[in-house]
Amino acid sequence: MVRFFLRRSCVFLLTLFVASLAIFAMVEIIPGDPARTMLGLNASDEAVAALRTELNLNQSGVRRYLAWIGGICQGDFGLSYTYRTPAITLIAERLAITLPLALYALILTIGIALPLGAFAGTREGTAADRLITLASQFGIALPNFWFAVMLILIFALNLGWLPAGGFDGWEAGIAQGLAHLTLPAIALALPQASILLRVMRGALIETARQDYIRTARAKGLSRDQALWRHGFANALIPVLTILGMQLSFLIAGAIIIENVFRLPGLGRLIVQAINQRDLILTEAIILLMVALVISVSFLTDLLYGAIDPRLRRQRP
Amino acid sequence: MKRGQSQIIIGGVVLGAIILAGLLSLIWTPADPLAMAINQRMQMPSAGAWLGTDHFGRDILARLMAATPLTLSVAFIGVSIGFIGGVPLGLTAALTPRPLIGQILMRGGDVFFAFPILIMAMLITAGFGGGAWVAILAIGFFNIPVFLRVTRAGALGQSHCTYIQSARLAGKSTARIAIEHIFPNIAPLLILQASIQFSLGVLAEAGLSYLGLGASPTTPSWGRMLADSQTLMGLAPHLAIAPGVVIVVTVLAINLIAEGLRQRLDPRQQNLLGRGQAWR
Amino acid sequence: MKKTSLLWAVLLLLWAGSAHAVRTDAVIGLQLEPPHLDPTSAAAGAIDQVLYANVYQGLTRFNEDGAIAPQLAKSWEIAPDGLEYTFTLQENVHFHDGTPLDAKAVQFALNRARTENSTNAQKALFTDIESITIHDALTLTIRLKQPNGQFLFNLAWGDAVIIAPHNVDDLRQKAIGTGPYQVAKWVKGDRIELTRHHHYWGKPPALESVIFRFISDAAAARAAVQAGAVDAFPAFPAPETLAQLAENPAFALINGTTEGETILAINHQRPPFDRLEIRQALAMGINRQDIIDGAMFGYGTPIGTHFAPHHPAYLDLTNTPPYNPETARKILKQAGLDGLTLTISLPPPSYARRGGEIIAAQLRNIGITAQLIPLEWAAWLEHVFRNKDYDLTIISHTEPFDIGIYARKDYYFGYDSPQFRAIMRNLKSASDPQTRTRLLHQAQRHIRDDQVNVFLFQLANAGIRNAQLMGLWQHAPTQALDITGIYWKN
Repeated sequence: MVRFFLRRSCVFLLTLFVASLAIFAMVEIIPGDPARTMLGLNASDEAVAALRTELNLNQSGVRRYLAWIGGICQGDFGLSYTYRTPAITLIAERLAITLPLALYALILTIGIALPLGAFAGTREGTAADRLITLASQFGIALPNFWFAVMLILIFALNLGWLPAGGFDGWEAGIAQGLAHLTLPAIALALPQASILLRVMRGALIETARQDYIRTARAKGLSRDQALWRHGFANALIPVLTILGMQLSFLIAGAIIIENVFRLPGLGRLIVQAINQRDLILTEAIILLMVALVISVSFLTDLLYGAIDPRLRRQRP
Repeated sequence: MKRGQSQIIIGGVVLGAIILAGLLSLIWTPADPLAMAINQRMQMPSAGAWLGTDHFGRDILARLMAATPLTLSVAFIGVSIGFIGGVPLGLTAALTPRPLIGQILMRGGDVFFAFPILIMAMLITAGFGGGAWVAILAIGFFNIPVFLRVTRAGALGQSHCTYIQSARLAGKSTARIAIEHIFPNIAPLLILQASIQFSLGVLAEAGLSYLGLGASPTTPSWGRMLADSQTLMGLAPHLAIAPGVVIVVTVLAINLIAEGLRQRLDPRQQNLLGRGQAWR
Repeated sequence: MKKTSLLWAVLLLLWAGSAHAVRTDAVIGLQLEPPHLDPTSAAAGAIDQVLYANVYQGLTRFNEDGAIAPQLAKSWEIAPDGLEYTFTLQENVHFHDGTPLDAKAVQFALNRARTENSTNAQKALFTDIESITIHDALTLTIRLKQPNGQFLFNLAWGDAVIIAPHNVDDLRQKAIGTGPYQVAKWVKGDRIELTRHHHYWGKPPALESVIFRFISDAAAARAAVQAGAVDAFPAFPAPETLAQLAENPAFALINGTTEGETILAINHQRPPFDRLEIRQALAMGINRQDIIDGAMFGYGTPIGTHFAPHHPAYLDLTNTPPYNPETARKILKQAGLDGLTLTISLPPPSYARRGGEIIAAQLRNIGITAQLIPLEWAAWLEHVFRNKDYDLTIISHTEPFDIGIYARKDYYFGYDSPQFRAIMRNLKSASDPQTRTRLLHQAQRHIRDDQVNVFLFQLANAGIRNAQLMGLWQHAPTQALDITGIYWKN
């Protein structure tokens, strides 16, 4: 077990390192001079050159990568070119919106998907099952940006129940903050919930066919009882796998939704950073998102290894 | 009727009709999809323009039809890139005698997979300008690790079967085994995954062009039609409803086909769908 | 004693309660958020929109009509040879942190802008300065290398504001100016809050606080206005919805002018656009009114040269050459360019993106296939502005009085005319208004005759406000949003 853990950790760190290289290279390759972008249309070449020196843009790529990665190892993500404040501070400010939004959406996803999925999965083939399955098909086919606009149109502009967008900060009160996040969270959650619902339903149907459920039923338990006692634990494994992936997608995927609802979250920050060629900030955000996804898959790996010793030797 | 057949038929008929309308647009549309008439803009549906006109006075039905080939082919080419790139890698990862190579491929796939597709498209567009190729590239890159994983999982499942073992004993090379035995056996699984990825590709194309990261602005596109109509929602809701409905119906049709395929192939393969959702 | 003051407090509260209908704050919508708070080192218009006149002040300033007025300089004297400007500063001016403003601070700010390694984006404004001498705490003399009829105008720019010398290292995060408002809070990605500076030297503003909210998405902007989350949105990103919003009596339209000449810029270095008749054919093939109606929903004034229509020296050249697609097609055919394919690079604003679509459709009518290339700002600056790698592009030149760019030899449209440069030289040294007007007319005609670019329209300052919110500028003579005079009607 310890060897397994160590080996996985090494691979994890190596993966992160490769990811950081790839991200740095990718961001640096894009044309567009950060200094020129900051100074604008009528800036003189001297002014641009002066700013380039100030930002260390004249150093070689290798040196800048080493400086960057060295800083990150010490927890320093560098100074944002445009804001001239530490990138990590900017990111932390935005995470105060993006993380709660992702969690809110995740809770909605689970709250919608698991009960409905369980309901449908234990009643395979009934009218209710068909209806839920069909609805989930729609949920998957719905482009979430379009859905978001429709939500604003109906619930914010016509009915006036919830704000149309924006965010006044958590200091304005938690209730108000949550009100601002409700429509975006619904727009984010519905497609993901549709997927999770189908996974839950499928997993339940599959476990229902397993021998131990049959045995349990032969012992006199009703189908539902058997599933409750034995089936759900097994159904939860695929559900958790998908859920782990969905959390990272909810954070990375909020870009469109944050734009539609003008929430000052991480998604908006990265759009801004890319457009202003704020290389430091762009790299920091992408690295963070990528690291999050890789970490989730690392944790799932460890979890599986802990559950099932056979998997310690080779990845499924 | 066989399992899943009704879904395949319904989905197939709807998708077929959409493809047909798209093909028809190459030779005929009810009006010139590019011709503007600023003084006739945002007209409600009428006999002259069945679905009305957009904010530049262009015929909406003609534009929806003209956008079909582009959207579908962007999604198709993108998924094909993922297929062509991912399947050989997945086979290699599963069958290579050296575990290190397998590890490198899998971890490489993880890094790729972790890279948010939208951000990648934004980076490319920011630096090199937009175009349909950006959407194709982004969808393609995103799909490579998806196919890598599915292929590897499928191939690993097959590699323990007796017929593979006997082929090995008969002295066939790993590459030949992969092509002659494993690939045909996991092909249905891959086709199923491809159909799911295709429907996601359509959604991704719409999302990318909605953000202005897809096809060039003059080219009609469903996603861009939605983006253009967003601020006009109060004045002319029909501008947003038509393309939205077309996207939903297309994706629904493809998903129905995939669902039918899944039921015919193996009722237990329920989890495939979740794998492909990263772009959102 | 204590009791009476308590009584007063209660009375005051009661009075405040009864007058509770009058708000002491206002929320102004802006499309773009400033990247930082340093007006002297970036061309980002958003910085000036928030800070110019509100937080930072210069020696002179622009008024709403574009005229130059004194600000930190109470008065000035110009030597007869036009080379020496002696300024007398306002008394009792304090920076927001309490330090007084004196001639030294002015000298520091202007010297900083013109030094060799200055990163001032408009360094050219200060190149004529030879030296700055201080006489006493409130008077100083600026000596020029050559007479410059534009000098007081140059000093009014947002790039020429007087910053607090001791804040120079923190300029990007902290704004310490002399204006009636100070920056209280900046929630990045969302808003900047300004509060009144209580020791302001001039007439105190009516409102206690003003919030700038940043909303770039057109649909979100409309929703914010409709829901009352912003009280005014001067440069509204969705002109198409203005008419509908204005039907509601709670809202009033803002419809003024800006300094933005929107042009279809042509790359003269790329054949066939080096040929006058081809450029003229392009101009004839484009219907300006359709672009204004289609892209700006009617907000905008057609122009025929690179000059603002509200400027007193403006010359109306809009119908020269007149819109005539047949002739345009004929010219192209004669030149053997039937079926010409070209590209149009488009920066992000909707005037460019929508305008580009319309122009592509119009060019299609004269037999030209136009491919549109949408670009982000950074990429536009890199590809179009710097590397001159483009055929045509649509861009609004928002600097005031910028016809001088046609005298720059290496500018991105690659126009090179010694005659035009001579006109500009004469203009610079001319101070007599009549001569200046004559020269300006000559300059406008010259670039029209050469059809340097296709001049499309003057960008409008089109927006919406709460009908009760008064005192907002109708026009935008510079990229500023002076909110020092706004107040609630009742």
